[in-house]
Formats: sequence, structure tokens, C-alpha cells
Amino acid sequence: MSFRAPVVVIGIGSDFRHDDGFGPAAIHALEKSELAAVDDVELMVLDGEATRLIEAWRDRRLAIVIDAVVADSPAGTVHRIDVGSSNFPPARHPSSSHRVDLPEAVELAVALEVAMPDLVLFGVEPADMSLGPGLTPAVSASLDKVIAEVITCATAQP
Amino acid sequence: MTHRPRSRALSTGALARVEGEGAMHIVIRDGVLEDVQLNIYEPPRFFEGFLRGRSYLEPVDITARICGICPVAYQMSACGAIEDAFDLTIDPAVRDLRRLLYCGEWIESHTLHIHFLHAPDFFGCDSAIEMVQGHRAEVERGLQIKKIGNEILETLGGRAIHPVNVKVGGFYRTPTPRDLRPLREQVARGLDLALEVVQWVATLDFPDASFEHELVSTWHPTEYPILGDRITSDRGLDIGADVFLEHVEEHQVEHSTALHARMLERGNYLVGPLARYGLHSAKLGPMALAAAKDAGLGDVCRNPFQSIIVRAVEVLHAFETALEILDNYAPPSSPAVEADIGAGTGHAVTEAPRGLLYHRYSFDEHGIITDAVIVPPTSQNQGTIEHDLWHFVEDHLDLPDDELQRAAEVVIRNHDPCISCATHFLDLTVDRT
Repeated sequence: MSFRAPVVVIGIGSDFRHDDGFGPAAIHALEKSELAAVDDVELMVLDGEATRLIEAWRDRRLAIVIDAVVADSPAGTVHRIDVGSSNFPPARHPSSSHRVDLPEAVELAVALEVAMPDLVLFGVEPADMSLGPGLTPAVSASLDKVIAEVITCATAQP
Repeated sequence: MTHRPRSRALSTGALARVEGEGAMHIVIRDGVLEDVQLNIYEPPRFFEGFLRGRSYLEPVDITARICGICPVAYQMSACGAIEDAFDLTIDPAVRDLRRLLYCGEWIESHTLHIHFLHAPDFFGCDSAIEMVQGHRAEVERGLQIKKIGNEILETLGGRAIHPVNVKVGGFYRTPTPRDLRPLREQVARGLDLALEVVQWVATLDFPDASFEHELVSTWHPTEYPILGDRITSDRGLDIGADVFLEHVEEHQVEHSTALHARMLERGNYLVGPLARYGLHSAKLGPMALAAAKDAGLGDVCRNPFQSIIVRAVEVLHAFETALEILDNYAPPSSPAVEADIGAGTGHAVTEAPRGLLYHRYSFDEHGIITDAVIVPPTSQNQGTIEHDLWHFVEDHLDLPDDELQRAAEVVIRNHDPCISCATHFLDLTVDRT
């Protein structure tokens, strides 16, 4: 059986929708960081589709998700949300498969009795999600902070 | 009978369980259906502009980002058009690997739609999560099948999301037969599971419906179309990709930023599983053909609600095709052939899970893109979806607003619109005043 890293870091989004590309941009930066050399950690980019998320979570101890999150905060604000905490929103049934709906993926995994890893979401408040490449300055400025926090979280002893 | 006001208005949030987002607006005045509009916004237009001035090497990776669920379709049509422009002949083994990769995408995309987007409609559920309560084994089977499709994409494409191993002329790296051995075991298992899915969806209850849309798909002399050579229809169309835009007119409608496509002098047409099946069911693999007959499908299926059966049949066919390619695979002499760059224009059509996907690129003498045109299947089906909705809503005006809204959503989902190829958000509004 092939080795499955106990920790997965998933960047969600499209790098052709400006700040929606924050997740992929963070993964690209992490691929150049010391985290890339840690065998126990796998880095990946996903589009947020629920069943792909569930497959990525299977048999992990910890899953860290990085995404653009709209929470009516100033652009670039970083949110850390631990799944299971009271501030994790419920699923908005029903939703589309392409819409990034982390709560729906969690609910589907629970319904299917998939053993869930500890799940931590790092979200950044976007300024612009229209079509086009590149992050806005406010969101780009949050990259270093998120990367540092993700490295700390991913390498912490269980 | 419950009295319904002759003029009413309602609006809802996002339309559920479609690939992506968009908007639907239905207007009913004095008890008469006045308008049905599918409003979508079109990233391909952005990508067409974004590609101009870039190298011929870039569309394969860039257009794959248009859609997370059908990146292979964009890669294959892009490769085909660029290779056509440079008159590049592809090794037959490379072509087979491309078909295998495409089978992975069909399996993944169709299985997602069957189990997580469409099937809940037939059980009165709002979501797959709700459906799990009574149909857990079927949902888990869907996940298993989808995972096998994913493994095909990862094995050949390097990764499932936006595969990175595809290039103009072939692949960056081609597998050895030994590399593919574990995949064969998975595909053989998937074949059995896919047959079970056809048998399962055949037991669903389907409303009566039949629409006489012109069916359009790519054509190949011996293969059920995935990588087709020409474009045909059941009303006599038989053309090469190079004249596609001479027969299909794209036009702007006020209510949408996406272009609508229609066949010149004939109007709306249908691409996708029902069109492929209606034109080419005789070319299905033997298991898929037998399963289709056992499921009660004739040679042609014109009931869009039964598209769930046709998708299941196409998943089974994709497994049969994948198995045949894996069993006969001999690596190409080279992973790719190099292009001899020169000024020119190339065209290609392939069959995305949702239907015909057309690409055209023009290049200068240095291989720099001077013009790009992408016509995705959902743009082509927009007018047809509006047509289906119009007739359905007109026949069900007495339904309460919430039921009418729900039923209209099902009509849209019948066509599995990949609106993320063409839009950003889908709201449904029924306006009765």
C-alpha cells in the first residue's frame, strides 16, 4: 500500500479569478518553503468540489484548507476556523458542486461515515473575485502571514 | 384545487446542483408565460482575449483552467486545433492515450452528475447528503467509480485537477505497460460497478417528455465519438471542424453575457449525451449497448429526464473503451512529435462530457496566437435548455411557486449545464405579476 502523508494542505480556488486564487498561490509558495521537504505533509490544489475534498481527507490526521472566504471583513483579513468550533458555518443546502462549500463536504463525509481528520481552515477576505490573473495588493500582503501559520500548524506535534 | 393568482412573482437564491453558477429568470403575466431567460457570464470570452499574444504552447494548460470538472476536454480540443494549424500527425498510440485520459474525465464528470447532482431529484431529496440516508450504498458506489476516473486522470495527466502531462504533439511522458497495470485492475472493477449503476438508474421513475431537437455531435467512422473527425446531425449536417462557424452562428442576447449558438437557418440544437447516443448508439461497446437495451432505451432517447440513464451507459462505455486501450497498449516511439511552426489557422472539435467543444486558433509565423475562438457545449445548449424550460413551465403554470421553481431546476439539471465554463453564478427568479 502506498504511503499517505498524515497531513494534507489543500489550496482551493482558481488562479484566473484574482483573489479566488489565494489558495493556489499559497500552495505554490509553500512548495518553495521548508514544508515541501517534510515527508509527512502533502501539498495540493483542488477546485473545492466536495467529493474530491473527501477523498483528499481520507486517512489523514490533519487537513488544512486555504481558501478565499467572504466574511464581510476588510480585504486581506485572515480567518482561522477549526471545524467543529461554534463559528464554523452550517452547509447551505443545496449548493452547486463548483461552489466551494466546505461545510457541505464535511456533512457529506460525516453522512458517509468517512473518518474525518482534524480540519483547519485558513481563509482570507478577498477584494476582487472577477476574471483575471493575480492577487490584489491587500490579499497578496496576507500571503506571508498565512504561510507562516500554516507551517506552524502542519508541523505541530499531535 | 388550490387557487393560484394569475400574476405572481418569486425569487430564490442559487440554483442547486449544477456545475457552476448562473441565473434563470421566468416571467409570468396574467397567467401566461411571457419569458424564460438563462443568464450566464462567459469566461471563455475572457480566455480568448487572454490567449492572444501568447505562444502556441500555452493554450493546453491555460484553457484547462476554464473548468475544474472538464479540463481534459479543453486540453484535447486545444491540442487538436493547434496540431491542425501546424499539420501535425499524432502517433496512434498517443491518440489512444488521449482517449483513455478522456475516458477518465467522462467517468468522473458523469458519475458526479448522476450520483450527486441528478439522482437526488428522483428521490425528492435536496442534496446527495440527504440521499445518503436511504441510498448510502449507491452513493458510496458512485464515490468508488469517481475515484477510478480520478486515478486514470492522475496516471496519465499527472494530477486530476488541471492535468499537467498533456502537450501539443502528445505527452511530456508516456507510461510503460507496467505503469498501467495497477490501473487496469481498477478499470476492470469499475466496469462491473458501472453496469450496476445503469441497472439502478433504469429503475427510476421518469416524467413523460420528448423534444425533437436537432442532435449534433462529432463523428468517427468506427468509434462512439470522443475524439471525433467530423460533425454530424440527425438533420443532414456533415461538416469538418474547419467550417463549424460557417454553419453555427453565435449571437448575443440581451439577458446574457454568453453567446448563444444556433444552427444557421434551423435554430436551436442539442449537444451532449442524448445527442451522442441518438446519433451513435450502435457504436457503443457491447456491454454498454446491451445495458442500454436492458434499461429500455431505444436507438434514440429524446426524454431529457432519462439523460441520467444515457450518462450511466456512457460511463460503462468509457470503462469498456479504457479497458480495451489498456489491454492493447504499446508505448509510442516518442511521447510527442514536435511542431513545425508557421503561420496558419487550426480547428478541432472533441466531445466534452456535456457535448461538442470547438476550439480555433490562428498563429503568426512565430507561433504566437493572433486569434482564439472557444465554443463550449453549454453555450450551444442554452437556447435548447430555455426551450425545454418554456414548454415545461407552460404546462405547469398551476404549480405553487416553490414546486415550479424546484421542477424548473430539474429541467435545467437534465442537461447538466457546465455553467462554470460559461458563468459565475446562478440565481433562479420566477416573476409573476
